[in-house]
Amino acid sequence: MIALVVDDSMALRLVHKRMLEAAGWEVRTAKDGEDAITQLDAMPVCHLVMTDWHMPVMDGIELVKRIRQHPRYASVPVLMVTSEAGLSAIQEAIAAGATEVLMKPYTAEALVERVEEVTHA
Amino acid sequence: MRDASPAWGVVRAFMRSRCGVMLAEDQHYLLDARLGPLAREFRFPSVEAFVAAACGPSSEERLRRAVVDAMTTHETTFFRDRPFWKVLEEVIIPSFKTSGKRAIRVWSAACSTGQEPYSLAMLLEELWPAGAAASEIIATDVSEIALDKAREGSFTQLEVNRGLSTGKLVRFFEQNTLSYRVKESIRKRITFKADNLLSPTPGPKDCDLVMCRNVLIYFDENDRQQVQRRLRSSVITGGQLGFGATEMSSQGVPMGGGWYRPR
Ligand SMILES: C[S@@+](CC[C@H](N)C(=O)[O-])C[C@H]1O[C@@H](n2cnc3c(N)ncnc32)[C@H](O)[C@@H]1O
Repeated sequence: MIALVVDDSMALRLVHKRMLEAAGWEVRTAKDGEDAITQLDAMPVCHLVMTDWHMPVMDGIELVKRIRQHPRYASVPVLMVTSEAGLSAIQEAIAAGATEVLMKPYTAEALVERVEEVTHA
Repeated sequence: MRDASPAWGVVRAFMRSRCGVMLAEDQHYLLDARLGPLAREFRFPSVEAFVAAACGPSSEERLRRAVVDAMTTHETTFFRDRPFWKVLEEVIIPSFKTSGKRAIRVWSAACSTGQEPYSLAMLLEELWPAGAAASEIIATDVSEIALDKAREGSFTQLEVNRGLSTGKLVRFFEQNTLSYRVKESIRKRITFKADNLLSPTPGPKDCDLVMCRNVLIYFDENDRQQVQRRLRSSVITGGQLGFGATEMSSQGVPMGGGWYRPR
């Protein structure tokens, strides 16, 4: 199973990559929404997109909207991870097309649980 | 670190007789780690003085409660152990719906801070709203402090991140400044009260479901048998008993996910 991790922080890309790899995933990374779309266009398969919310160039919300119109990836599960807090932030992300939202702080365990949930759904 | 002090023996005996929880002799580091803060809080000169006052004969109830709370493990999450909830969702609750029942009665024994009974209340509301509204959930624990938190129904971001989908969070919780609180409409469906699994008096009667998960592992074989008999006598004919993922029961026919139908 292949995942695309999108985050403008190199440190977080690495942390999330490690967490997913430990759970058996093969992981690609992208540094913002635009980079993510470029990569998706070139990826033959992708089973999960995990994206940050706030990023330069193209943020997570815009990215999910684009993914939902993508010719091949319109139905890929998208997990949004964010330091946004609260129910209205969740609703905004879900309305944009995110499958699930995970708010900081979270543990590696919570992250992997959520990933399993969205990819088995 | 110091050697096992006689106070540790007193605490072990106290926990064993008060709630069946078996603590090992070599776990004496827990004396300082868990009871040290309480000794300071209640202004005792030493952990030993606190133990003598809290675990001895004619001790004060509030001190005894504090010891029980500090020495028990309250670790729990929403929808803990997926297979358990999957069987409930796909097999057991649908069978109640089609059986023509109007409502069910459930006992969540050793419910800790409430995630287990709240998970059940949410699932029932989603799958069977009419039945959920008329059903009764009784949730018990020996720790009054855990029960207070359960009754309040407020959970931190870290706690709601464990096991709860965003759909359920949005639907069943309201947001406070630093926490999420289960909505009143769900909270009021659960009756929280103190109960010791080892109590000689029977538990709630005529339950369609009785769950007792991740607590019997702390008990010895005798107490485990005694508790299982007590739990079974709370189950109505045709009802089910649910245990933790690593706990086996000889109490009935396994239905999967930790569920058993008593023979
Ligand atoms: C690890 S929690 C399990 C919570 C939940 N059932 C779950 O599976 O996630 C164990 C709980 O058992 C409670 N407990 C320990 N001894 C007990 C006893 N003798 N009677 C009732 N509850 C007890 C503790 O207070 C604690 O809240």
